Amino acid sequence: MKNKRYILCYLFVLLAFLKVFPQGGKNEKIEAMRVAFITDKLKLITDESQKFWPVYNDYQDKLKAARQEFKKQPTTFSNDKEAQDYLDAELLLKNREYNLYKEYYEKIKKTIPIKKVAELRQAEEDFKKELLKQLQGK
Amino acid sequence: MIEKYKQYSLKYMLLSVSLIAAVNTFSQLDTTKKIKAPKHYFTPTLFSDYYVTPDKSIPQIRSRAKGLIEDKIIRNHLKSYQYSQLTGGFYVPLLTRDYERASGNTANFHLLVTGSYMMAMPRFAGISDHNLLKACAGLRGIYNSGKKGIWFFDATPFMSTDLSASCHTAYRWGGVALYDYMANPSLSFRFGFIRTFMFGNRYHLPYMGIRIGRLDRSYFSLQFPQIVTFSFPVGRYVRGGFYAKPMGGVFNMANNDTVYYKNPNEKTIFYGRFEMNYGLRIDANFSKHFSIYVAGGFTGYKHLGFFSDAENATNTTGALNRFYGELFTPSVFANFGFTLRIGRAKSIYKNYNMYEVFNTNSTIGVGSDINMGDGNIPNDIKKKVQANLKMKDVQDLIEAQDLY
Repeated sequence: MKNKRYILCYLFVLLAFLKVFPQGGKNEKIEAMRVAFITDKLKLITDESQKFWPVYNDYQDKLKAARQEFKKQPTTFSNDKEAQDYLDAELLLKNREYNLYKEYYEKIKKTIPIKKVAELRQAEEDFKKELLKQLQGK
Repeated sequence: MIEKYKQYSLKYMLLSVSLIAAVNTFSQLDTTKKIKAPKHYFTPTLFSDYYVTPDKSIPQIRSRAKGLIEDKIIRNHLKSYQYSQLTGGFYVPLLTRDYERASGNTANFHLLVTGSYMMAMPRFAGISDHNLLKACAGLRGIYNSGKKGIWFFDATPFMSTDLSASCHTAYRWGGVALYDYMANPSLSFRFGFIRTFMFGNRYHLPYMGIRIGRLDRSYFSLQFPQIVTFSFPVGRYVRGGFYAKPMGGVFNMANNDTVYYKNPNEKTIFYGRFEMNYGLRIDANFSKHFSIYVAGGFTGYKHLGFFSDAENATNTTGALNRFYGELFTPSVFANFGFTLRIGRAKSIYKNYNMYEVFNTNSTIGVGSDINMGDGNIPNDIKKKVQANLKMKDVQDLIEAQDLY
């Protein structure tokens, strides 16, 4: 009897968590799409893959953090100061993106051949087009 | 005392979840807070597990079975045996260091603090109910060379006592040291040493393992003495696995029912149990943050033993000497649990070294040998991902000029 009560309580907690944590968020799906897309385009060999993905994942984490910080800015402005703050934040984001690009361009060059680095840039552009295509398809 | 303990456990669990939710909500509301990229590959992780086997009458003897110590008086005293356990545990990353090598490889070191509590609930029809607590707190360090090698160390001191009646509290420790050689993402070997109680006694054993197949696809893994499994993805979020795994432990138990009748004055005895489980486990990874699992099957070998505290007092390293041992015919078992990963972690897509680190960490369960599953390793399936996108999901990925 006590065991049944335990099991019921346990199942209740599980169901509550299922409600709080729904299946795979949009960001996770986009990340999975990006990884599959780049993997397909670059055709990395095992040794390259082992070096490339930790560095590229790190780059994406930092890029994402910078963009999320910018997204916290209010997008309606009640005065000039708020508008100026928004523009400053945007400039800061662009600056951070550029610095990260420069830093990780050097790091990624150490992990895969330069030809594949150039292909990576192209693959990222193609991935954006793929996302747009999916949006248009709705 | 046990009711009090249960109430406190539930209260603390609810309080912890509320606190986490509140901190999460407020951190999202705070627009001035600078968002940093995640520092750790591991997120603070909570897990809980429930395991049960049905009632079996005693005797259930296999003739001439090894480890059997017949004692009709104890057997008649106990009458029947049923076992269930409830486990809760956590690990939290304390420190993560990345080292970028000149070769382009990224090595890293992870230091985790671990803890768990387990309430073992053996039930014998002939004696009073005993609720046995095992609680541990430990440290584990993992060094990933970024190439082929991973070093893993775990030391877990724990205490064991009987919550239902007065007895001594024992302090013991378990530990693992192993080296993992990953020849390639589809083949790895592990060698090391393990000090464990999971076979219902204290043993020092070599650790030997081999895995064939990628961790994000189907693989076969033989990890002696932890587990033998064939694991396979079922879609993007579900993973199934056939497995064989020992489940057991040694717990302090009050001798208030004079189970050790030859020395009725002895206050404490040790209860040791061990089952060899053969079953199927399904893990549903609903997101990076939350997984549940259910498992069931049969116990091919089920052992129960009792040990004298006084007679083993001077034995601090070797296997403990039993005064009673019983073997049971196979029965079924059921096991289910959940794993909750809180906060953000560094991305690990296609980082097979980190997949191996995660798998090593989950295979060597925290304290009570509970396998938390590999919900943080995404399944690699061929099917194209359809994200059902909206503009707001991708607006920070696409520049205005991409639209022309």
